[in-house]
Amino acid sequence: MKISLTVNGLKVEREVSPHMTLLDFLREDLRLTGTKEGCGEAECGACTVILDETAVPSCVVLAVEANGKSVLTVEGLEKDGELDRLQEEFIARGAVQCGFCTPGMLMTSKALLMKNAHPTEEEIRLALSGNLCRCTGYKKIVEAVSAAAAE
Amino acid sequence: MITNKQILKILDEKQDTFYKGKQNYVGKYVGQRVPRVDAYEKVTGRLKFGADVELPNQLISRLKRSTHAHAKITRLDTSKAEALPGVVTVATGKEFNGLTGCYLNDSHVYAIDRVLWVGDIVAAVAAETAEIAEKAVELIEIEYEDMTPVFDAIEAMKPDAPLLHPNLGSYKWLKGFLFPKPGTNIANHFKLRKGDVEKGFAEADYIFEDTLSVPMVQHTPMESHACVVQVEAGNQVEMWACTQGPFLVRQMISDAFNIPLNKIRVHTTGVGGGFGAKLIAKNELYAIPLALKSHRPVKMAFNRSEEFLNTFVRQGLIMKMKTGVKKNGKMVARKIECIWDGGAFCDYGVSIARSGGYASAGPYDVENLWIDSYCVYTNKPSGGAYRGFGVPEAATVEEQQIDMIAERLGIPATEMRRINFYHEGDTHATGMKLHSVGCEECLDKVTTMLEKTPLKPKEGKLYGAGQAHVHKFTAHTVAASAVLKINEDNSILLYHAVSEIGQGSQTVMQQIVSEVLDVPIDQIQSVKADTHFTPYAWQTAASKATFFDGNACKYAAENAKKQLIELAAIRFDVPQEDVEFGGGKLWPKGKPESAQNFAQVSMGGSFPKAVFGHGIFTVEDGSGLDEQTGQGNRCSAFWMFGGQGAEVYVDTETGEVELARMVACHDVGTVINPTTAEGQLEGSVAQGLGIAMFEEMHFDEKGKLLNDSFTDYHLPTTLDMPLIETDFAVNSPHKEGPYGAKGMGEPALGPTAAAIANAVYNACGVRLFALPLTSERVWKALKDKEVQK
Ligand code: FES
Ligand code: FES
Repeated sequence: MKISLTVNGLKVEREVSPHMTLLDFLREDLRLTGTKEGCGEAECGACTVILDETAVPSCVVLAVEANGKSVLTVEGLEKDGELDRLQEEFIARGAVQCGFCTPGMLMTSKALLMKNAHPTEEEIRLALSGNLCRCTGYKKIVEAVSAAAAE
Repeated sequence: MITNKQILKILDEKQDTFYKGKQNYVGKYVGQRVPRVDAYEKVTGRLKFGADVELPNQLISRLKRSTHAHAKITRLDTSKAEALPGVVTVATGKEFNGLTGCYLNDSHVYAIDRVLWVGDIVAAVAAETAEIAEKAVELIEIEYEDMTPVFDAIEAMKPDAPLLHPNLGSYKWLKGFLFPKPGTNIANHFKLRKGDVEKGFAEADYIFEDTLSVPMVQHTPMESHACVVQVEAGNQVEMWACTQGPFLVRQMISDAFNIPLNKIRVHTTGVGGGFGAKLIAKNELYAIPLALKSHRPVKMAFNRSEEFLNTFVRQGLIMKMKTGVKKNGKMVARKIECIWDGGAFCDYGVSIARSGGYASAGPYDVENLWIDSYCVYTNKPSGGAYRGFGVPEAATVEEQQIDMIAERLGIPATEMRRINFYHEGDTHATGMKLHSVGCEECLDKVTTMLEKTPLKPKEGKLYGAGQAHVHKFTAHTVAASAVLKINEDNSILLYHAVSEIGQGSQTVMQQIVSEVLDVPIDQIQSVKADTHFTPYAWQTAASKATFFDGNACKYAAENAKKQLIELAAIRFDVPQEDVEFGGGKLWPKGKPESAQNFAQVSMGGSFPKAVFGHGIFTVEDGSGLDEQTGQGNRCSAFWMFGGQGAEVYVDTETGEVELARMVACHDVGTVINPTTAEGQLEGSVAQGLGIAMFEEMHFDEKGKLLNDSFTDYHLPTTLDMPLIETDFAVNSPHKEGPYGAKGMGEPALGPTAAAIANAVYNACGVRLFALPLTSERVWKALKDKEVQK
């Protein structure tokens, strides 16, 4: 099947199998490997991307479902050599350890801030509750998102 | 109730006074909150992890796993799989039957005639696509003849138990370090004998005996194991792997396939969490035969189920502890038996039985000790290193017993700990002289944090607080080495073999080098471990990187500095003692205007000399332990100490435990980077709370793992997290550590689960003799207590 979509602001047209997940499409066909696979069954959030305005686990979304839509991945956060505020805060506050959950954490947070510019700590925790991190204990991640939202 | 914001404020204030008047070193770079050097490539998604590596023409592989726990393979037919279009090759234990390991070479690559657990690898397939490989796996035909399995470690120790490794006696192992018992399922029996334990019990006012157990759990790094391997002409193996131990992976490949080390090159990719799971070769081994046979690159990435079953798990532990005490709480004798449920291969577990055994009596000076620690084969997934190497498991038992004894004696548990703690200069249970002992400072700080701002009671819930304290060993005589090159443009390349697995070592190494050379962190670039180019390091394990590899990096920087001074003396035509060094420059005394940078000094002018600093480090007086007594000169280069305090609310209606706050103080020597150090503690709280409250691998009666996915194996999320407050001891830097640093990754997890269990008891009087403290179990125990009343 042919799909056409926007990925990180660029138009993309590709032939894909109807069974291919959006995650595999991004990682294998487009070689955008910033989006990670942690479980493949919508349980860890590592594969989170923003589809139109919503954060979705791309491991359970089919590539064909993204047809006509716009996808934002971690690779699209940095604009003209400038990091997104969230990325800066993640660095400054030590919210990154191994970095494997980081892309998913950033995309979930980005989607949250797009909808709710000033979330409370509770709202941040709730939004991130589907994103597993085995390294940080989440504390510095929540702090980083709060700080990015404080602007 | 105290809010996170208030805690943050407290922390900020505390940071300002953090080091004032203390002994821990604070420099321009060391001791500073330097942002991580690897953060940029991580927040942009640019860092390549194991599964992100792709080689042209690469094949995708899949594994055929055993459905039986213990069985003979009576028929193995791969012909249909091989005939499937798109399948390039299939490999089995018939062709590849070498054994390998780290401490004890008991591990097959693919099952040879016999499977040892549900999940054991029987065959591997490489194909053009994942779909084809998966289909091929289904076409592999296997017939089994069941053999009696053994799932319980105590059963497995009995003389008539079915043997998992009848050839144990013929395996290769580290002699003098391990003591396997051929003809049994005991892969190692570690003994420690100190003083006269029976005399100690005779002198005791009271004797207490308790048995507790902890189940198998899984590390679950967010990134599953993944590698890509290709074999070039002449059997030259080149591999990219997300590993904590590139040199160990190389060794294990060499042992399994009989390939010399200089023909195996392992590159380390980004590592998405390790916690011990990525120390040894697993998927790396399964991939090699496919690459050897196909002459094409092969990718082998584990799915989540394989991550649960085919890497390491944390061994289960049953620990019996008998303690004799005086009325005042002074312990006079402890007799301990640890039985570690090692799974099908005990290759790494044997070492945990040893060190987890010698540390099992806790951070206490007890005159008479008798410890037996056994690592036992069972038909379950293989046990191995998991953050803490036996200490968190043993502490779960040992530290709960301290609380139980203190209660029965009617003294505060903090006091009982205090009067038994080790001090500087004491002799450890293993016979080594202790230096850099910060347990008392940790106890004081944890107690103060808990008492200064205790949480308020909650309607309808019982509140409780509890503590636990540990000491943690590291390695002894392992080698670490580093090389540092000054480039023509004055930038610096730093080569060491520590894997950056999230702990922040890359940043810490650069901070140490920056401190020596007085140059900004970003003037340095670390090179990822690569067994052909980076110098040797044992493994990224045992919380040893900062101390061992940090010293190697420090020495490499000092060596480069020495070379630069020698060159500058020639260049400036002054004696060496008249060369000034600072801010990344050198100049003749009194003439700062003639200052030259490192590149100018070394490469400039008419006699260019490339500066190439090197450093090697090991502990010269490190030693093994005597087979009969477990005594030795220095079994661990240093000891780390630390304590944590938990505050919980227990809902007596549902049994639900809410972990409300964790406070932690650890003695890690000098803290090189406070931000990454806090990160280690915060992460360990999450891991420890999972282990304390819900993580457990559940097996059915046939040995099949029932929860091999995140749907069924619950991990802590943002919603489970308590308030966290962290601190560090500042009065016990280590005289041999780089700037006084020791290590910290593992002890961070040491006391967490025990502290939570003690808090739960304090809240509701329920003491469970097994982890995890699920609501169901707590509720049931509360009901039983009511009935007893
Ligand atoms: S990989 Fe998609 S949620 Fe885990
Ligand atoms: S930083 Fe490692 S999983 Fe989150």
